[in-house]
Amino acid sequence: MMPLEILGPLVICGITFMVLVVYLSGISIPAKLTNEAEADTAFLLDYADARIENTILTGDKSAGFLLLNSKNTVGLVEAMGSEFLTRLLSKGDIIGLELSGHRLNVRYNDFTHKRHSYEIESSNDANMIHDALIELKG
Amino acid sequence: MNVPDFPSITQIAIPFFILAMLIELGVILYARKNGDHTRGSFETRDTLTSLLMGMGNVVAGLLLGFVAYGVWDWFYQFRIYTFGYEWWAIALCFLLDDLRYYWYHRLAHRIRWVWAEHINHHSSQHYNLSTALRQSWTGTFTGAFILRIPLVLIGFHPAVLIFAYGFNLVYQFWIHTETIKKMPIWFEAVMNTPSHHRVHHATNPRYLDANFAGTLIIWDRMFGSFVPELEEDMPRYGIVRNIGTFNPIKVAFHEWIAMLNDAFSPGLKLSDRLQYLIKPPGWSHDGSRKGSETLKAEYVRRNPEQAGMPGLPDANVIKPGE
Repeated sequence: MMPLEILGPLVICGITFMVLVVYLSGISIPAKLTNEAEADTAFLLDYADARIENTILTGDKSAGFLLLNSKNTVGLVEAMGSEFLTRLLSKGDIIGLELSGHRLNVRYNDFTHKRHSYEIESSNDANMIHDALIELKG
Repeated sequence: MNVPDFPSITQIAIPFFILAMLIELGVILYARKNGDHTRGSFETRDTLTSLLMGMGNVVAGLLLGFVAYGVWDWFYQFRIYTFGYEWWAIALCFLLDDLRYYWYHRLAHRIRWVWAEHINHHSSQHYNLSTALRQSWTGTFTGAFILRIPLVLIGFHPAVLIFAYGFNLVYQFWIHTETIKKMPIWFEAVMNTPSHHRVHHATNPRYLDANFAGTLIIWDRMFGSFVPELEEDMPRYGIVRNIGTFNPIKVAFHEWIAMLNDAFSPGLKLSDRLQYLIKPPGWSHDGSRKGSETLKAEYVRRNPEQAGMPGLPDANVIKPGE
């Protein structure tokens, strides 16, 4: 086995160096939703049977809420680094919800995705999302 | 006979891992400059998470490796033959351990108790050489090391097992890339390759639970789990329900927590609790979740012309409710 006094610094320096190179290369670009259709496409890749009635993007285009035609479910597409995370939210998936002006603060029943704050451009849209999510509160 | 002091192949390979990642990043950037966006990508936080998972795996091995080694060492006294430490014995051990790896890997995808540690490796939505290093911290807790006991009883010393496995792990490193499309046909026929392993990491329904090989893809061909990569169905990476965190601690333990939450949910029969631990990922006592069979069946329902293709069921074997 490699002596720890060599292995330790080798691993730590290697990780630091590699992450720095990736960062400085500029290859890492945060994912953004260009439009509602892109959010729909991303969601349907994972939930092909979903029927989307309305898609609302956040102001910074990092997430989209999809109002579906099936009762008590809401779709979510959210940037996760340079990729997207999707969720089919249903009853019990929301444990905290607060609408403050155009800002929606959500706490999820999800160990890897516990909470997020979303800025919605239109207050009408914010209310629509809030009303859909409140039905899912556990 | 004294046990040789075998070097740790994976530790010696660390500078090679770093160099290879740099080369891969360079190839991707060069390709993109020339309009080719099909060679993969890197993301800063994803890379950091993967490498920290790798570091944690090394630490876990240093702290807990004695458990597996101790068990194997105890069983070694009951061996029926002694293979020794010659090069041919190591080569034979490599071959048989690769077969063992195939079956461990297949079980890791089909038994939630083992999936709980293996899921970490699949949790990145990227597929690059840093993904290869995204390794579990909790492998010892699954007890899957008992799968090596037959090899010990045949006559391979635990030190030989570990030495041979180091080569297997280093081989598996380079196949975690999108920069290499296909190897020559003869190579693709026998060896595990980037193309075969992209299928394994993909969440496209046809690719779920396929290509479990370590080094030799022949095991998948023999045991019916081989699915070729199709240009018309390019792999999408990650897990069926992707994680929403780059925190390596959450990555390491999230499925253990989810599994134990399920198993200890109130109001369940004992049989349901046990099945949450041993049934495939996606199983639920009330049928509310979807496993890979259901996802494949749903895909065939939507795309009936794909029925019976590699990785997909025939239309007439889909069970009601799938």
